[in-house]
Amino acid sequence: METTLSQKELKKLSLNFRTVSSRLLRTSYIDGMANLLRFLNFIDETPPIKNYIDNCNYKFDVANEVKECASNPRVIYSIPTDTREEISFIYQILKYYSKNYESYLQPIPHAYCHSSSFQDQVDEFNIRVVLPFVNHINCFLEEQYIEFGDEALNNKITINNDSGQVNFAQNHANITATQNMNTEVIGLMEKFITQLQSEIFKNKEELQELTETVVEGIKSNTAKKTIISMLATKINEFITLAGVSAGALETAQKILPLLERLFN
Amino acid sequence: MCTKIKFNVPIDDDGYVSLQCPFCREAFKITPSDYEAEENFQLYCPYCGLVSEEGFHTDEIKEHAFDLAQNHCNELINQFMKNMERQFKGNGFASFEAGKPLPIKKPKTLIEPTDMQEVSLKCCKKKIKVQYRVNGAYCPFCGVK
Repeated sequence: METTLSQKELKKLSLNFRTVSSRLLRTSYIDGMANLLRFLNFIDETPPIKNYIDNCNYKFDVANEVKECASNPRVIYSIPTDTREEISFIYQILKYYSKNYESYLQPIPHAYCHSSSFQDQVDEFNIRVVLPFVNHINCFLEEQYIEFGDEALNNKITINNDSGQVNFAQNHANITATQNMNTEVIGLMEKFITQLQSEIFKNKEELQELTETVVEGIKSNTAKKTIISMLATKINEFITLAGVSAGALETAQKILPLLERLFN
Repeated sequence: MCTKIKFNVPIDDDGYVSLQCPFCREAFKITPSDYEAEENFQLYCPYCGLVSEEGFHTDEIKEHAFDLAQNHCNELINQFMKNMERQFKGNGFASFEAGKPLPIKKPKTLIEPTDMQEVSLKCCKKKIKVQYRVNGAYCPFCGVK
């Protein structure tokens, strides 16, 4: 997936994110769930922010965390100290709230605020849990803005991450995206599948099916690293075979470094 | 019945008044005319960029206002007790003694030091003061850096 943003669009994105975050941070306990949904929908529909969060890529048993805090009024969430883990954790907690509760107040652990006021409980939770998450995302957007300053002469900035690439361009400059590597590798692999049909060697079908699986995975952005690694191993074995056609061999040799970049 | 208590908030030598972000708690300054302008019904914090329609009063101002309100309540209660004592004076069946009056605390004097660095905002053609400039500041009026 590829997104191109100009400097102006980055500014607008930052402004809109801060506006929707502020609305959640100062929400009334009655409107809490509606404002939480607005906040999460904005994040999910904004590729640069969504990719950044997905790239943190840690899984937590949030259902268990929420259940534990609900049953013990002295316990708060065990928020990780590592930045990326913290971002993942809080995002998953908020997502869990949005899918399993009708009221924003209901799942908030009582240990965050001993006041009997519902509003105080929501405010304290927002300051201690939601605000650090908002600050991390703000910091990420600020870093991209700072990158613009360094890359001003080239009028472009590229961010690579595992799940896709986001390009920022200054003043509508043209982007020559290296992400087109995906298009290139898909083209080569489809050509390789066709070339394999006329080859004869052991485990030919296995190599064909593995290649087709990886192609589908890249197209739908769901390619798993273990499968890509397996394919790279099989292609390495293919290259060492005697009697294969020069065309298939050349294609295989072109695919291998591209697969390694995908894997890394 | 609603009682309003007015008090003056000082400005510094350059004509700025202090505000405090309700989110990051950092202080910044704007001019009173900008603060009271109708079109500025919400403000963005120059440091964290978050926005709010209210809550930008500093802790000192809130404490000062609370002290004034507390004093007003205590005066009302003290006066009420004195009236009760006067009313029951000479009554053969029951007596009422006011007791020690509730304290009237002297609120701390509000001071506005002339500090912070003045920043010109090209977007809205206004000026504010911030404590430090790290990669610029968000404009409190339009939210853009």
